[in-house]
Amino acid sequence: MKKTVCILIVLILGLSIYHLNDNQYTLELPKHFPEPIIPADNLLTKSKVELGRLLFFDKNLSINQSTSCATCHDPKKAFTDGRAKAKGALQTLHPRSSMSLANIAYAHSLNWADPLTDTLERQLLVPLFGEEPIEMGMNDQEEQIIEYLTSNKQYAKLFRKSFADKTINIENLTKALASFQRTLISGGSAYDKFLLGNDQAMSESALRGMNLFFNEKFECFHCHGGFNFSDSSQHTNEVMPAKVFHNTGLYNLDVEGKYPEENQGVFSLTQNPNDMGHFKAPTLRNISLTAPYMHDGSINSLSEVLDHYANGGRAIVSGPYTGDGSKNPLKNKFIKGFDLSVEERTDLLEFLKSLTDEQFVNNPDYQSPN
Amino acid sequence: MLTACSKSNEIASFEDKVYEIPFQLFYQGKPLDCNNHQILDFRFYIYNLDLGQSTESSSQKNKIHLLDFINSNECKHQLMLEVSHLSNRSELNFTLGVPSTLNHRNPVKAEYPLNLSAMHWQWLSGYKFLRLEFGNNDQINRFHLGSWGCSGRLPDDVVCNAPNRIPISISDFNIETSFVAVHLDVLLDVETESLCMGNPNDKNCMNWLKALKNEVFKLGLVE
Repeated sequence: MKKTVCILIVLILGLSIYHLNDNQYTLELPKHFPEPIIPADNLLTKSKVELGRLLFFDKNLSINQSTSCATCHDPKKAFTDGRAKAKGALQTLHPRSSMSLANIAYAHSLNWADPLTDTLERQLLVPLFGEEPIEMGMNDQEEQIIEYLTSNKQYAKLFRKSFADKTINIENLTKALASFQRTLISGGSAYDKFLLGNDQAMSESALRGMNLFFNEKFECFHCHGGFNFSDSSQHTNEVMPAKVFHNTGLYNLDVEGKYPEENQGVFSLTQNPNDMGHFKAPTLRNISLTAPYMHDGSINSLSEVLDHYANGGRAIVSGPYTGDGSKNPLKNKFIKGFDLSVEERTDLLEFLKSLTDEQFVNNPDYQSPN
Repeated sequence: MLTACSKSNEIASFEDKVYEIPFQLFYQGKPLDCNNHQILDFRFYIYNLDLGQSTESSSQKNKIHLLDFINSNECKHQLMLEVSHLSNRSELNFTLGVPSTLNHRNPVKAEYPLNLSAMHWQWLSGYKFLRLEFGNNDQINRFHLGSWGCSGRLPDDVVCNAPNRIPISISDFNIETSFVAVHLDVLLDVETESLCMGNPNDKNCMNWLKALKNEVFKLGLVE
């Protein structure tokens, strides 16, 4: 009798462990990437990630079933939408451009200019429930969301499997969506292949461009450096990272550094005058796929981006935004302007192109389930 | 000895009895007619509701009430707030808002009434202390009041340089016969389409805020 009980216990334990392991999600990172910080109360599991993926592509999470997360964050465009300014479910224009979600697990802060929002779980409340502007338009619709998810057998099953409390609620919804987003790792570009030992991965021009990118004449790496080409990235080896934002001299409406009302950067949040026009330096990975550029999409091409930095800021000569950004007193001190030869321009652009990760944008794990 | 007895009765604290404090909406001196108005949404948080409670009632004092008069589903011109452990002081105090200790916590993890997306300011990571929306299809005015000018670290390390919490004090308040009259007139008196979110640099906004402080909450007497 004892022996039978013993065997039964071992079998049951074994099956449970197998079951637990069966749902374990191992985040596959490129060899040269550090570990992202994953919150202890939202560890990755297969079912959670799958649930998040289904939700990410589900247009029923918008007020008129027209818009999913993927509408503004299209995998083919490295999770952006090709627009200068994003457009919500009710066709309202957002003041700013959709940001790429590539390597978003490493972001020290989310959104363009928000030092407070530092987890994906809290960030997605903005597009889901926000009213200024309306994005998915679900403000005051929590009950309707839960009703919809509960009535869908596939969702109900995945919620039960993914969460200890087996509950369909908004908290678990945010955890699932955050988990899917954390799996969006992009580290397979030509540049990465070169770093990992493939000498043929980058062209001569791209290699020259790389050296220019990282030198003290162009200073690109100061804000767009590190493994993720962004100083707003953090990882498990970085303790207490400072949250950084920069003014790049895009506007100067009143000579004292003013930016347009709807896009004043960190100042909009803190009301600290020194924060006027300060925005995040996002990743340059896949940058060839994510035009137009800057927080408001006001620069169309990468070549024009180079012009902006070569000039040390943007001079606008007519219209409502007239002003010389290169004289913005709050501009980052590394943006001094530089001479840019034809060859240097070509090489820098080739280097930026080499940051495109075709595997990432075509990965079936990141595409719509349909 | 008899005198001593009657004296101690006069300053007795009303322990354990539950009282109701009525809050009533008024427009142009009359109770708001729920069938005839242009208000689409009117709700606000209060805390530190105090009518001289005894010290044992700190949990009562810390309670956050959402006064939900009007939302997309219903309209109530009167709400009753339950309070207990009162003494016979005659000054009613409360603060309009959500305390700073709770204002920046994750709303999806909170209990009612702090778990409502409609009363949260997602993009500023804090609560809408008050939500007033009125008008018609042509012009909707919106007053979403919250803390402004915030920095720090979520959830508990945030400082805002314009907290925008409003302490209200109503004298001569008698628990048996008084109510709180909420006069909407000044709040509804705007000419142009407005959106106020508590920005101290916005003149319209600051007028609204001033009205909330001085002209909205008044002593009401049951006739």
